[in-house]
Order: sequence, then structure tokens, then C-alpha cells
Amino acid sequence: MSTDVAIIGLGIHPFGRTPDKTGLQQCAIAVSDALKEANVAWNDVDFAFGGSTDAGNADTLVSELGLTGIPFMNVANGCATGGSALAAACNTIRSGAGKLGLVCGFDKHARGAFKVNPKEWGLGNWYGEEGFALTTQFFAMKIQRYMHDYGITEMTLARVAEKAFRNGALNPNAWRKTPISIDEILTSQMVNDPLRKYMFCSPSEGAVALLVCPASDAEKYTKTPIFVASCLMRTRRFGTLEVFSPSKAIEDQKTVTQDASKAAYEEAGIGPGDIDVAQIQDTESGAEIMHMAENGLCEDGEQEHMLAQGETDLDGKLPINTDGGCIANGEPIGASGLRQVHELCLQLRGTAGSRQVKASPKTGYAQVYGAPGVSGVTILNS
Amino acid sequence: MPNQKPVDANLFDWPASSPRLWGSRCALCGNVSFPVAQRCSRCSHDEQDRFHLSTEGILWSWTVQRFPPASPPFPPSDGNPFEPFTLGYVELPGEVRVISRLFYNAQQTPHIGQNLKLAFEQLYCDADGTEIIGYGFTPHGDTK
Ligand SMILES: [Zn+2]
Repeated sequence: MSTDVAIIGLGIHPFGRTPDKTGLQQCAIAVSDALKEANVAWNDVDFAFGGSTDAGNADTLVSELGLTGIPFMNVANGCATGGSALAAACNTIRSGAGKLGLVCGFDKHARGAFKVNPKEWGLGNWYGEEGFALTTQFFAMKIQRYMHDYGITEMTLARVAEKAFRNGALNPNAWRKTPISIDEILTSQMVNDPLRKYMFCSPSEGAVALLVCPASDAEKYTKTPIFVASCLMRTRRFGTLEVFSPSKAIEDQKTVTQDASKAAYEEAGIGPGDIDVAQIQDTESGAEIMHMAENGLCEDGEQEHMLAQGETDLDGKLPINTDGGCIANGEPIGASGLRQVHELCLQLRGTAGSRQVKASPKTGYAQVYGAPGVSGVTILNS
Repeated sequence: MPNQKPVDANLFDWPASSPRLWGSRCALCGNVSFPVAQRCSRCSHDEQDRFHLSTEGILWSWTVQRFPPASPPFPPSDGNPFEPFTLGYVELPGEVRVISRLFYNAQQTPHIGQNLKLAFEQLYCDADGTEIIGYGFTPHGDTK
């Protein structure tokens, strides 16, 4: 990689429900905070990438922040929006086309499950009429098979959710800040077997902003730059089970997350054993369990004892989803991936407050997954 | 008998004496697609031969849809209470795994590896009273 990229400013608008602010307004607040942190003005920013799914065009932010004439590119990549925006910004820095970039993601979704128009996903209307146009079903069927193949139990699904709410309770920016017991989780309403109400994340609102610059400039802005070791996304290949698949080949192939993960480790020149803290897509409990293995953080089936022994807790060997993940923060699609990066930066700086992981972490890993089978991975170093 | 039509005429013929799902096989690599594809998702070849998929399969995974999906695209409730339904991926041996409704009676429960056969049920009635028919699979024979 020609030029190393540093993250030198962070801003976040709390996740959850903010009825009095639009998604764009929430994002403008996050951007202001990031600018203040890096001690720069909006006029100093010379390019931007950003996106949302349901809350408007990111480039409209210039009317809130100031009309400075910079190139501001909108990114629309579903759950990988934030990761794609960060990847594009890193490439802009590496190419020399920009010196100080804004990366932002925000969203504001209606209550309830995401409404899906099959045609937008290349499917006939029949897919919705048969009752298949729900992302929740996919996650349920994927973990159902995984539990069968690798002996993962319902208790482990509950443990993931219980940890999410426990971590969320320590995060002032989280939506769900009340711990929920294993018993309550295991007796909550069944939604899509084997997944219950408290194992799922819900669509929500929120915004995150990051400022990036060449690593050689970082000390102008901050004493605690965080360096991007790799940042990329991949689309699905033949033979994997993904959201909105009418069919799947009988032969099994590596998943899109396995592909993105392998490429990211290679780009960073490290392996899973080097990761100190991770934020991985937990659309529901099952996704966190399967993504642990798909990201190389454990072998298939090891999750059962890892969760039982608290290995992924804040004080465990490999803390995962330290800010409560999607389960405690909800999922504002455009902001979700950058929330992970924001949390990793805090952990790597050592400023995550009461949820700071113990051993001062050096390397962090973030992964997002979304329809129709995209995965984005970011690896950061302190 | 009321008018009936398939939920999508490209999925299966209806009415038909022995209705079956349509799939396609890649003329170059043999990959099987459902629904019928114009281009192979494995090798990108654009010559695909339409054929009838197997009517028997094995349950690969399943779930139950316990809350009403948003309408549209789900048919409107017309005031009837929502009935949870079961769905899954059914492996058609040597062909492909297809997403499908699963039809069970009160004594039957889904389990991975179960033997299934193709079945059809009415999904809903459209505004002019036409019955819209959907496909699914139902247990059959030794389900060990
Ligand atoms: Zn082919």
C-alpha cells in the first residue's frame, strides 16, 4: 500500500430513536463532533464520501455544513455503505487525490421489519407473495442449519444477546441500555425459529462521522491516530447461501464474509491470531456466532464453549461487539458499519470508558454483512 | 370451480395434470438454476435449457414465519388473522436447493433430513376471486 491512511477524528450521534431530528441533522452533529475532535474546520475538508439508505442523500449535508464546493460522493451499498465509503476515502488518500476526507453514514428507518420490494433485489413478485421477502428468515435458516451441523445450542444464541445488552448498558450512545437476562431472552417471543425477539436487532436511527488523512499528516491533528491496515468489501460468489436467494447450489463454497476476511488479512499482512478486539455483524445472535468462524476468529463449533466461558466478553480473550453491536444499537443501515469502526477506534485509543477492554489492544477488526450478499471488513491498528 | 392461476407462470404450469417446478440447466457446465435463469450464475454462459425439477427432496433447513410479512409484497390479510407458516430450503438431489413453503398437518414437524414431495396450495384470492396457487413441499414416506 503506497500511503498509509489514518483516522484522526470521530463523531457519533446516539443510536436509537430521535424523533425531533432528521437523519441528515443527526449526521451533521456527528460531523461537527469529528471536526472539533481533530481541531479542523469544515473548510479544511477537501473530499467526502457518505451514504444512507432511507434518510436522504449524504451530499445534501453541504447545506448544513457549508457550501465549500468539495467533491462529495454518495455511497449506496446497503449494510456495506459505511465500509464502502471508508474504502473509497482510503483509496482517495492513497492516490493523492485528497488530503483530508470526511466519511459519514447515517440512517433513520420506520419501525418494524425492513419493507422489501422484491423487484429491487432482482426477484419476481412471487417471492414476496409466497412470503419469502424477509431478511429475518434467511438468518434463521442459516443458523438453523449451522446449529444442526456444529452442535450450537439455543443457550449459546441467548448468551450472545445477553452479552450485547450487557455491553450496551455501558455505552452511552447505545439504543438498548438495559441488561436482559438469559431467561428473559430464552422465553421471549419466537420470531423466526430458532430466533427469538431479544436475539434480533431492529431498524433504528443514528449517524457516525470519521475524518481521514495520510498517516504522515496525522500528528498535525491528533495524538492518537488510528491507522487503517485494510478496508475492503466483496460481493457473493457462486454456491453460497445469502439473503434473498430463491435457490442455492448443492455444492458449498466459501461465504462472501470468508472471502472479504481473507482478502483483508492478506492486505493487512496479519492473521486472525493478531486480532485483539472485534466488531462483527450481529443482525441477530446467530449471525455473530457464524461470523466468528467466517472471520477466522474461531473454528466452526468452538463458539459453544467460547460463549459459555465468556471468551468474547469485555474481559475475555477476544472481546466481540464491545459497544453492544447491532443487537443493542439497532441497525441504521448507512451508519452501522462506521459504528463498528468508531468503537474500534475508541478501544484502540484506550478511551472506551467503562467498556474498555483490559489488555491495551493494538489491532481491531470490523465486519459488516448485508443483502444481497455483501461483506465489508476493516482492520485497524493503534 | 373458481378460476385458478399460478403465483408466477414461469415457476410452474397451472392448472396441469402433474404440475412441476421449472428449472434450467446450463448447457456448458450443467449447473441447475431455480427459477429458470437466462445466464448461469456459476460460469456466466447464456445458453440454459429449461426442464422440470425433481418432485422429491430432502429438508436442508427451515424456519417458521411467526409475524405477518409487510404487504405488499405479501398478500393483504383481508381482515383474516395471520397464520404463521413454515418455509425452508429443500435439496433436490443432484439438482439444487430451492426455497419453498412447507406444508405440515398438526402431527408433523419439520426436521433437517426429512423426505419431502412437491405440493401446491392456494396462497390467496385476488380482487376478482381468482385463486392464486403457490408451491411448497410436504412430508412423505419414511422421514426417519
Ligand atoms: Zn454454467
